[in-house]
Amino acid sequence: MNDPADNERLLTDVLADEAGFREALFSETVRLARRRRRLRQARRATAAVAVLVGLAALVWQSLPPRGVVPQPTGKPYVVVRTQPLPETALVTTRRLSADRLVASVATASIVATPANSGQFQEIGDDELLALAAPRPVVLVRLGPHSEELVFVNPEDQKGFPLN
Amino acid sequence: MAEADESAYRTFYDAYFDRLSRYLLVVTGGDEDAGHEALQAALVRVVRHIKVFPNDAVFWSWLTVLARSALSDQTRKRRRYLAFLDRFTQHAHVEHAAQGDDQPDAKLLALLGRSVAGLPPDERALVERKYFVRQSVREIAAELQTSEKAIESRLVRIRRKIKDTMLASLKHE
Repeated sequence: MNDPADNERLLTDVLADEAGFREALFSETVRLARRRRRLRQARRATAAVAVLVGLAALVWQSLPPRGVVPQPTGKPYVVVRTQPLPETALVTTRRLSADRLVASVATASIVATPANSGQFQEIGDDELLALAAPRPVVLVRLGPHSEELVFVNPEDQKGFPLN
Repeated sequence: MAEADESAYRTFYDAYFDRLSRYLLVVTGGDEDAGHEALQAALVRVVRHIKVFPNDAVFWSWLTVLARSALSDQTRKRRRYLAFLDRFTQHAHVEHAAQGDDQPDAKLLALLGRSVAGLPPDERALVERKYFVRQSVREIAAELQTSEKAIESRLVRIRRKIKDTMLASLKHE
């Protein structure tokens, strides 16, 4: 009967790793564990930052908004206090003496017109042309009830004796 | 281990790597590659789900569950087109293997004994000198009037032969 420890030693050597599988797997396992630890730490940090941001947002919302001047809570009117002016600042008036009065007289003349002054006589185109003759004139018709009398000689526009 | 402490993982490896490796060798029926792959997947799950256990027995039981589920998953991936049938057979296989959770080493030791007994006399004698009489390689070389290097080379070949015999036996069981 062999010693169990001897059998175990032989079994270990028989099944011994020949290609470095154990060490390779160990390295891979530790690498994976470290990666998971980093991920776990990153998750914790992210959660902490999220909590801080949330708290900051809550605090920010609870503060009064900037740029708005708080309104005074006093009376809704303004008291204005007055005081009497000094004597030197007062201006007074008095009646003018009789010798300094100046009386005015009526100097305007009134011109009156007779009652029949508004009567006039309408003339026709031929009569108008006859009045201007022998000076050369042209009667220009501008519209149904609009005409213009044009003097051919500019000198005639200044006036001339009627016939 | 939860804090990714390398020394903690080293301790874990020293205590459980060989044990888990042998366990998977038995569960896979001597398929060394499948055992390695399942072991790798199981250790990834250990990293992901490591927690505190009340004692070694509970921890070892948890490790075997991880190892079996990793093996079952990798086998299912390989044979996705026969998923249902494969799951059924794997379940039966795992159930069968689970019955021997606490005796994987016993099975391997039994196979080891049979493999050593099946060696040619000179090879068996060399193994007995080295492992059971506990002679050093130098002493063996001196008695056999050969070099230490030659003894080492012969031992390597014999151990490889024993391993192959054991794996073949596991596959046929």
